[in-house]
Amino acid sequence: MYKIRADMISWILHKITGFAIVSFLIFHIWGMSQMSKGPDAFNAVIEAYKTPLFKFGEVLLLGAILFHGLNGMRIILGEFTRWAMDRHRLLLVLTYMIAGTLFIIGGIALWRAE
Amino acid sequence: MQVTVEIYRQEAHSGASHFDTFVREVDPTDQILDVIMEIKDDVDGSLAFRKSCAHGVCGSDAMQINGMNRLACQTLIQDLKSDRIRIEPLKGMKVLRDLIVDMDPFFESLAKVKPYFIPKTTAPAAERKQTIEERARFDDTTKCIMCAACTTSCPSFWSNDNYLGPATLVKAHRFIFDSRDGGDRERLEVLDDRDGLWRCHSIYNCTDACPRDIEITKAIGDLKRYTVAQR
Amino acid sequence: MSSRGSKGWLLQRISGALLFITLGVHFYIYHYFMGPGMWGFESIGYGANDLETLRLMAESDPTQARFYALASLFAAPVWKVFDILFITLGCYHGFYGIVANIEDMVTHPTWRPVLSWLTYFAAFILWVMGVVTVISFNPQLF
Repeated sequence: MYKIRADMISWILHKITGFAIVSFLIFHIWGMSQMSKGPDAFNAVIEAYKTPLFKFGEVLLLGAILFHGLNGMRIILGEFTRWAMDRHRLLLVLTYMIAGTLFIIGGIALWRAE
Repeated sequence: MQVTVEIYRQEAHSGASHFDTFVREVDPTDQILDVIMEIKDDVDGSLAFRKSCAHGVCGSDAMQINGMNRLACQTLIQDLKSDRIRIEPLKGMKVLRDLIVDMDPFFESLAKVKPYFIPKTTAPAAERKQTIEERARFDDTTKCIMCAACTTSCPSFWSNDNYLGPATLVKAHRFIFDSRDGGDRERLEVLDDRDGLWRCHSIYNCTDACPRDIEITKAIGDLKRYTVAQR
Repeated sequence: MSSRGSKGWLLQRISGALLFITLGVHFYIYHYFMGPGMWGFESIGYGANDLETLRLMAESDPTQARFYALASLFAAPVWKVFDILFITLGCYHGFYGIVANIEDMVTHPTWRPVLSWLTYFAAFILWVMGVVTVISFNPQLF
């Protein structure tokens, strides 16, 4: 078993969150297409969003987007500048910390929202 | 001090594998290579592994030691900070026997990027001049000893062995960024491929594994930017 | 255009960086700024006449307010352009990411291109679905 390093975890998480977001994108575009069918069809979708299962999914989605977005920016920075490459460990820790903090704050707010 | 050494064993013909465990009395400053050579000499003469210079220059004794690719001759017992030592062959390569892997695909991959000087101009009367800055640009990647520790630490290589791998990209870097060399176009043809540069996802396992401390991920980053700019 | 990876790599980074911005805007406008009953969209590009119609609709049936609020945004040309850009970036970046994963893991000479093209095809279908919804949407129909 090869040692699993922090960079490798971020690579695996980037894949997993990417797949999760694409799955949601499919679902979201379908949901919005229901708007063309008028208020009743749309409201049926909105009602479904309010169930605890979907709310839980929404919180997870927020986490996935925060991580994927911030980690993605870290990857771009790291591949385009030697400055960031020299500090890749620090930037990785920052990515986890910022994503984690925003996830806790935003996740609680989203869960409590009406 | 006493250490427990677990070594991966594989039959050459049947391919059957298991781990053998040896309890050894060692000094903290012993090399891992010393330990396995003593096991071969004193306990089990059938243990197979590659070694040559035993001083971190030839690059023949790269193996996976406690979950990391390292040179057995450069790693001391005290470096591992553990009294359990687990030694496995390089991951992602075909095992021929025990710790010996088939290195042919690795060298075939290296050959693809033409790892030799391709002159840009006809030979001058004296030597080809180069400034200190020009030389510094590829200094780091000249240190490669082709031990394969980086390539076999790379998750992209594990899942796709058509991928050129970090060692090959290091070789390409050494020549592409040499101001005297004129083989860029031919090499970029090989690098700008779906199984070339673009399977690198900056996971940094290679940089961590390199026994010569080459900043491999950074070198690959140079190549990515250069390739995108050229094509 | 070369299909050997360099353009794809660069575009994935450009689309990723743009999504970082557009997703922020999308989330803020659609899911935060514009909660039910918040009629803040005069400032973000919707004509007053149609807004008035929508307001009357919402007042006649308050439970439908969220729909009409969203509809008023959805109908504004500037947000139609934004949404098409957003859907295009999202479909491209997301599905190219899947193609990259296929290329990471599938080395079989037939399956690799077949799976990749199926992924591109799925992305195209989804993109058409999204863009048709955005372009054809007309709140006056309801």
